[in-house]
Amino acid sequence: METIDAQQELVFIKKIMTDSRKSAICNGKAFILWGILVTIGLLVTYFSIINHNLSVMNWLWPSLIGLGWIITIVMESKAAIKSRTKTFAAKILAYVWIGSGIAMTIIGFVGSVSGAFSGLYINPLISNILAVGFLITGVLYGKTWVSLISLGWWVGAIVMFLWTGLYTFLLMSAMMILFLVIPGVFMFKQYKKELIAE
Amino acid sequence: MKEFDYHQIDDVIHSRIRLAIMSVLISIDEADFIFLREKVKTTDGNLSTHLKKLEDAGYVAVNKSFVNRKPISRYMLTQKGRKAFEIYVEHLENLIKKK
Repeated sequence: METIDAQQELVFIKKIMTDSRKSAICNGKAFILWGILVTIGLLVTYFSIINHNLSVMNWLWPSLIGLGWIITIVMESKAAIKSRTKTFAAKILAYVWIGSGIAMTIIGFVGSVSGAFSGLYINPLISNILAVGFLITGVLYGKTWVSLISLGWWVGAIVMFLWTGLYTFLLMSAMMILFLVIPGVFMFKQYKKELIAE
Repeated sequence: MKEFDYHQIDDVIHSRIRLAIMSVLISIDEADFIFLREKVKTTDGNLSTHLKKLEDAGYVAVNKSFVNRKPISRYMLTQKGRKAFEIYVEHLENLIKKK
């Protein structure tokens, strides 16, 4: 049997472990999908309020959110089957976003329908949940820039809580593109790059 | 520098390829054959042989399924394997401390 120096052996183990952990845990597709869907919803809501045509609201959000969940479930199920690895970090991340998604759906529908709070507070509340999601994602993903996105969501939440108004729909739309779609695109590119590198 | 005293350590793990397999699987929950092959950098035949040894020792469990009619084997460490790996690393650390 070959004899190997203990120190070298530990270095070897550490290197293999580090390399293996590098496998991407987030492909960013869900961020892009939800960012686009919610931005469409926010803009349509804004213009329907401006034009006093609120009938569109009866089907707009249930359709968008329903579509979002269906696509997400199909997309993530396919990805899970095809995935070559399963990591604890990826599992935690999936549950963080499933939990956040359910919380945001409840705030968006139950909160506004029950009249527990004004519809204008939906955006800052959702902004807070997204901030927590990004903070955890950044830590698990091992990228500080992802965690820093949470600051954008928190600042946006404070602004929308302090200065309520119709403009928050436009602000939230911009935040969706800036802090959800664009990071999603970066993550997707990174994911593709890592797949090629493997 | 002192060399490994392999009488004290686990013979099943004490092979470059098996150690590499265990190191990959300790850092992720589950990996398929292709992922392991790429990380361990070995041939299919060699990897199969070493995986079989780890399976026989009860250190690794395999889950076989079909994806798009293609057979997929996913490997994971068992509790016994995890414990054995921890003891193995502990031995290495003790060896270094003694130096």
